[in-house]
Amino acid sequence: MRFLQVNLFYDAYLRSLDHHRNGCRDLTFDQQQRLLWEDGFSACYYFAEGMAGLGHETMMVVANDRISQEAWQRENRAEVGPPVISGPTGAWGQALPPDLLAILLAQIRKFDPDVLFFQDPISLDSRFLALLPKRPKLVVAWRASEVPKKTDWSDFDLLVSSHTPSLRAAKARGARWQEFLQPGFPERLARAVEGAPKCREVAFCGQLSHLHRRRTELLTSLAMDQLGPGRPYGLHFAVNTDGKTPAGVAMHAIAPVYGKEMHKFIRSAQICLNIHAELAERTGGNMRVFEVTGSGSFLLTDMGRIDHELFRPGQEIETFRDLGELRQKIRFYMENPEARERIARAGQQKCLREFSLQKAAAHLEILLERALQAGSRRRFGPFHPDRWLPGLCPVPA
Amino acid sequence: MVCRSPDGRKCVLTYNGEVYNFLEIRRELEGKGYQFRSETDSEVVGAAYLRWGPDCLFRFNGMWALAIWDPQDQKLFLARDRFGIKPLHYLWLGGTFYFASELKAFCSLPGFRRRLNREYAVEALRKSQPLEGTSEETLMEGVKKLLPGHRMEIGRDGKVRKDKWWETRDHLPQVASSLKEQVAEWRDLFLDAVRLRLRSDVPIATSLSGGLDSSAVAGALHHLEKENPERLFRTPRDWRRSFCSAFPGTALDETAFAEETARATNSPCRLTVFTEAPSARQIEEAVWVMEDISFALAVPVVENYRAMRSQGVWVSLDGHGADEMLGGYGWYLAEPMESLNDRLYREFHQTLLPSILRNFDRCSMASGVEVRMPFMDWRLVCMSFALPADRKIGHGYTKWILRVAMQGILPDTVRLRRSKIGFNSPMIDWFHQGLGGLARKVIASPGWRDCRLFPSRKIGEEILRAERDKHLGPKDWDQTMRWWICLNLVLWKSLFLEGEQVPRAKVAC
Repeated sequence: MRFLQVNLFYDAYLRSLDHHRNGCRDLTFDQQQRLLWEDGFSACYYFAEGMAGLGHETMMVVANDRISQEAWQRENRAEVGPPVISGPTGAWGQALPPDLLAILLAQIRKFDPDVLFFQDPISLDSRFLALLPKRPKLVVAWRASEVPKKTDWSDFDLLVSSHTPSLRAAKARGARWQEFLQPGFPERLARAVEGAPKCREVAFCGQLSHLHRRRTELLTSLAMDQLGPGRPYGLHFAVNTDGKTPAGVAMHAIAPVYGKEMHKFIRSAQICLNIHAELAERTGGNMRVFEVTGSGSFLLTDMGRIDHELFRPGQEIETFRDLGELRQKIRFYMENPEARERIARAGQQKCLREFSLQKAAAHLEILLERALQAGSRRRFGPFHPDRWLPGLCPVPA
Repeated sequence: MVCRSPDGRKCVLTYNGEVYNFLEIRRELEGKGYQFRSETDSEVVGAAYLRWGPDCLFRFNGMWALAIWDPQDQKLFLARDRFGIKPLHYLWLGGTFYFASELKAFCSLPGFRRRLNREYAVEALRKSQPLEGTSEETLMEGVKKLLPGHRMEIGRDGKVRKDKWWETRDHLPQVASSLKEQVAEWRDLFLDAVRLRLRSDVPIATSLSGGLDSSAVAGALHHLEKENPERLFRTPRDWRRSFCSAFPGTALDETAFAEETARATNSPCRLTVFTEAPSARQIEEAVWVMEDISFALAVPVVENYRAMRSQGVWVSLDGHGADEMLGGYGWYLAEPMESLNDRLYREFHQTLLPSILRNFDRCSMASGVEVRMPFMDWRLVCMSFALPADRKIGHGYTKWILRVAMQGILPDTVRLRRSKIGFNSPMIDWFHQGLGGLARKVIASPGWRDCRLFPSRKIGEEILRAERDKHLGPKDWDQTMRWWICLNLVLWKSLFLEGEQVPRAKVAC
């Protein structure tokens, strides 16, 4: 199977990476890809890496990374057409400038994938597919977040997600099939950060936006607690915000961290917090669950329906239901480092054993093969618990 | 006091407060031919008015409520300092204009009928923020106050002109761009503000709460004497005394921190210890002193300054203003950073701080102690409001620039202390003790029973249940505040309207 994964990464991440890549602009496309791969941004979604491990021919591009894309253009000058400035408009029009869009189209044309996999199907939806001269056998996408109403997935064959609301949205936006899939943690990242010192007490990293009101409130409350009686503890919030930041969060904020820096940050925390977005509808199981456990840190997460099915609370992770329990468990585990470290170790073992990137890719491979066999017209059925493989979590009701 | 200019003009001044930079102004006026008969700042204030007119206010660095009769122009000029540290009340009665620092002064005027300003009382009970900085009204019907940063002129014909002469945001300086320069500039201003406030012919001490701000003032004193003794002109030698209220066994006790600062600054700390609720008489006296509805029971503050005066101290250097200027309270942490400075500006100029300034002025002046507040130096205030919000809250701390500026001046245990308690009375413990028996007495009184301004029966039952069951916890703090302001209002009516006045406790000097 020829598998092409198209990623779009945060501009903020790429800007921070550009800083580290100073002097690397002349590297080859493969060398640039290697740098991106080593940095491990969004690595839990590197299905192309997992599919390659299963023997498939794969390619992964970061379509909005000008440095690596221009390297590909240099090496494939004849393949790249003129900048694409006409055609259907959509969110992609804002995400990719005309010259990068032309490069991406050339990459797809040249690689000629059986499966075209989008990691950001909001920016690149069906309107982008209309630009392709030839339709791949399967168009697949991953989404585990908000889906704007105008998104068009009517030309997508399969939408995979660990996020039930996204699966519901996929159906409503016209994707033919929707399947539950957990991301997976690449073991190489665990090895890359295992030496990071535990120099922070309580840490959080992630986004704050209108989709994360509860997260914002909880972090602010923890900041306020620091002014009360009792021994204060160090709070470290590596957050990126798209709006107003409460002073309490800003008080403990450091610059956002991405890629390997983020994994090091997570690893450096004695307690790493995870607070799901409201959109998760208490299902839980976001990427941070795997990133924290996989990096070998103690995860204290808000109780989601899936979390306790993925990991055993009190043994492999710890959970909280409300602010009171969050406060109480932070205190308890600050004072009980042995219990904390025991849970962190067990959580990491479970993550690397059960939720590896390789296992996620194996699961995806089955879904893709089933879809290919079903053909573009036949449905291969709504997801059902029987469909899940041993070792993978059951489908949420 | 009668003041004269070189060309023979004169004015008559009455004045409550202190202009700390009077020596510099005096030198400037002497250069213009003015002659002075005394060493006081009052004479300089009068001369400054003669020289520059009402705009003399912009030259003053200090706190004041003043009235100047200008016989040439036949007008009375009144003004209050920039932030309202010193109070100024006034009343029109039978075509005559009266003014005073205290409400009490009006009570004995012939023909004055003491009546509750019901609208103000209702508003004060309803609002969670005090009205001191926003309303010209007082609890006493007819008596008004001049708002902070305002001045007024009354002509012989009775025509009144009133305006706001000070708006901090119109005076914000351009601050340096680098953090290092900002900290250095802020620190220099703070130390200079302390230095100016050390000018005194009478003994000085510091009030230590145990918190960062009062400790910073004590630390700055110590630092100035160590580093720049030659700049401490006209400063009493025996300032090395500090005073603190202690509440052993309660969550509000900060004695350990106050003592740490006292040790570090070599200024022995005298504790006023509260082991139980104050007596009914102490509470009544506090209401008499405060003259208004206060969100806190001020007995410890009254007693702290009483203790000072009994030890021969006339001037206290305190840390007020830093919390509102630099974001010291926990509730600021819920404010978006983008609007933090606006919120601080409101609380500093209009809502919270004006009431704190009023309370501390009343409580200190009741014992004849003058409270000086280095953080209220207008230069420091203007610079602080010119700073971006992340200089105030950041790096894991509130009041961040103050903490950085105090490096090497304060012990780190105090400088980097995160917890914030604030100088409050342990109201929960005291309600469990029935406020020294006073709660029962007030609730049983006709003044409480007949009060229609709040649900007195229900609240009375709640207060008595708290004394009986002792069930209150930290989360009930706001509740006790609401109970207290109701008790406060009924006590105020009893003392100020019904004539049951409490004579002031005698101060041992």
